[in-house]
Amino acid sequence: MKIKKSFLPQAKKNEQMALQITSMADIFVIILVFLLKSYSVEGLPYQPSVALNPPAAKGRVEKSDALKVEIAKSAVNLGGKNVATIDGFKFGKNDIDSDGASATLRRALAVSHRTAATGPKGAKLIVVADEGAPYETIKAVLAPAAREGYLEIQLAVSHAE
Amino acid sequence: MKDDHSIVLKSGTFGQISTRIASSDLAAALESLKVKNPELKSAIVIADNSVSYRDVMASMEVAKGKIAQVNLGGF
Repeated sequence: MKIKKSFLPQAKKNEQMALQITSMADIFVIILVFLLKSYSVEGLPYQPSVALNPPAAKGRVEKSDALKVEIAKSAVNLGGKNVATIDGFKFGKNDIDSDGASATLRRALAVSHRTAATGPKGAKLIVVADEGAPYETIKAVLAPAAREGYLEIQLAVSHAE
Repeated sequence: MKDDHSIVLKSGTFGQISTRIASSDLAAALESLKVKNPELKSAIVIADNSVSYRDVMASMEVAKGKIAQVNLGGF
């Protein structure tokens, strides 16, 4: 009598399974590099070059790097360098033109424009201002920036949880 | 945004509809404006000279919660 072979108990084959992990290891290395890069950006601290306290705001965190103009109570810094001395957030009367723009800052922005990072709309500028600054001072900074072709202006805030 | 912490909301094609509100009522006022004008997609914040940057940013944050695009103006 013939019994179908598949119904008989089969002897266990003494086979060792070899796991090919080379491809998987490659993928993990790529993921690891990607994560390390992401975390280095996440943790990138920004230290203003002059003492100031930006306003707090909730909402999305957008990381961007560009030329920064910092507005503190007694100084305006551009790219970490002092470009204008102000007194209690006030520019000198001779420094403000008829449209409320700072002439000193405009000259500094014109020089920096050549090397400034650009976005889809134009040169990028990040404004980091003290929360106590009056809008008059903010306008004195934004007006010359817009005139000098900084068309992608971002306002930096400290992120409130 | 006014010196006295009030806000004048201007709407309509040429900003001809004007309403003065307290800054604390901004969210509700924008919500009601959005209901009346569902096509409302952008707003410009203009402040008096002495209004602090903190107040400007606070109003912008409230407005951003209701309107897609909020920009600073007046310069």
